[in-house]
Amino acid sequence: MRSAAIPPQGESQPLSWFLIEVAKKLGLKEYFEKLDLEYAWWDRMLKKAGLYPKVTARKLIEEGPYVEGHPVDYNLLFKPIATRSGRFEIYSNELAEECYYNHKSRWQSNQHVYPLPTSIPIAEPKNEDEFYLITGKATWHQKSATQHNRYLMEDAIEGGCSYTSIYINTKRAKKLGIKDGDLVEVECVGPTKKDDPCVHQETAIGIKQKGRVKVTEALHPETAWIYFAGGHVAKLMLSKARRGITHNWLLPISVTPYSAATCKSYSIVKIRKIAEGE
Amino acid sequence: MASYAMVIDLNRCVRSRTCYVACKKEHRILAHPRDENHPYEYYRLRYAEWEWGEYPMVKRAFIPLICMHCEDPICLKFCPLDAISKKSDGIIVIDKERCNGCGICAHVCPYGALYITPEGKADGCDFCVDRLDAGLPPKCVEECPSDKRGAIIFGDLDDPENQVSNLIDSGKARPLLLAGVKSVRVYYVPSPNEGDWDKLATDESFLNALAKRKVDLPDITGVL
Repeated sequence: MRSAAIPPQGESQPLSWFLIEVAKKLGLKEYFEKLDLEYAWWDRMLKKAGLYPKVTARKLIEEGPYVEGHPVDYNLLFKPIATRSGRFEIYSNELAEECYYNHKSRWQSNQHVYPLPTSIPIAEPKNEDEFYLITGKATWHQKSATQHNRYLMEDAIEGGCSYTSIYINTKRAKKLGIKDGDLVEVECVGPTKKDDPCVHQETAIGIKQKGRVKVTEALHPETAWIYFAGGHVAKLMLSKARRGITHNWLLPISVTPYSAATCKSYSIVKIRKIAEGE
Repeated sequence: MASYAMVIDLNRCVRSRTCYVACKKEHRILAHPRDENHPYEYYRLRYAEWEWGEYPMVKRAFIPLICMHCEDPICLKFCPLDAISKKSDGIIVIDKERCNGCGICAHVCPYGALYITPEGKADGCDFCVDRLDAGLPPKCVEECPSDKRGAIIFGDLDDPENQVSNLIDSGKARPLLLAGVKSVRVYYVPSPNEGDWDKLATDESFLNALAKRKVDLPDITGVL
């Protein structure tokens, strides 16, 4: 629990203050007036844990940790999860009884709620110039939070491990006639709805971006790799942070059919060398 | 009088570039010019990063490089104005009053550890000599985020109990001796990422990484 060590400095305010102010502007003041937002969130979690009101957030902050003694008469490693059996289920009785085999359910016989997990393979690159586009974080950046540190974005650092380049396996690059430092066009070509039923939106298909190549042996030949959070579009970001390729633009949206959560975060791109200034 | 040395433990280095930022901030070294075509780089500390091997058995090596404070410095020999000197504690310092920024020292340094400031003066790591005088460790040592001990260790070689002495005497810390250099005051604890440390000085990938600087030093044709 992140309780304040010192009062907010200057004009800074806790998140709850902003939420309440926004609520007031929205005309929802009555719902927030008596709410102690600093603690309400934690109290809700304590309620779920079955500890509230014996343990409250305020008590924790004022009195310190709450310790509850338990005789060790259960399996210490067993942590029940929110399934009927409390365990990880491969065959879901809930889905079977309430959805797939339930004639009253609108999900009856729907393939997306089949009680056994359904394996939907990912699409594959089809041509020689197609790659899976993957991303990773830089050891020296905290996502985009540190991209305004000019020292961290300098060439001396970018030299060995360029932050704004697109990385391709040496042998694949050679086949395509691409060398270190070449300018390339990266076009999203998949996965489409046809290739992968999980794809929900294809707006990324056909999007093109430009970037400089860095060839490396340290990359799977089927993949092209970029740093996460590169290719910013915000005008006030350092120009170096705005170079490079934005992963999100090249990512068709795929969702799990049942829960609508993001399921497969992958993209297939076509890479071709282009002339300087093209 | 102390005899200073530094050990960089490459097994502990997490490549956060904190030492780079800390060094530039401490010494108010300018960020590189905004103009991408501008040829100069300003640093007291830089990195050599290279890879070796073939997929999938590939290693990526990463070495922070600073002035090695050579026992017999080449830069000192070549400085036409005697602006470079070696203090009794082993630290190499540059007299900014004398230096005219001719760039010879930066050219001859095999480690590429020196640069020319925008004011036209040679500059390089002096182990944060002002901080040492104030009883503080070099800034990079203080700021290194790796583990509790940090990846950069600094100390007095005359103190046998010092961690630096122990690492060097035990052979765990090794010097990086390039051509023409016999003894230095900056040591490394090698990690498996660099391959054979003894062959590093002649390793082509490493030497390429070492030479990869965009620094356009002043023309010294005919000076040497």
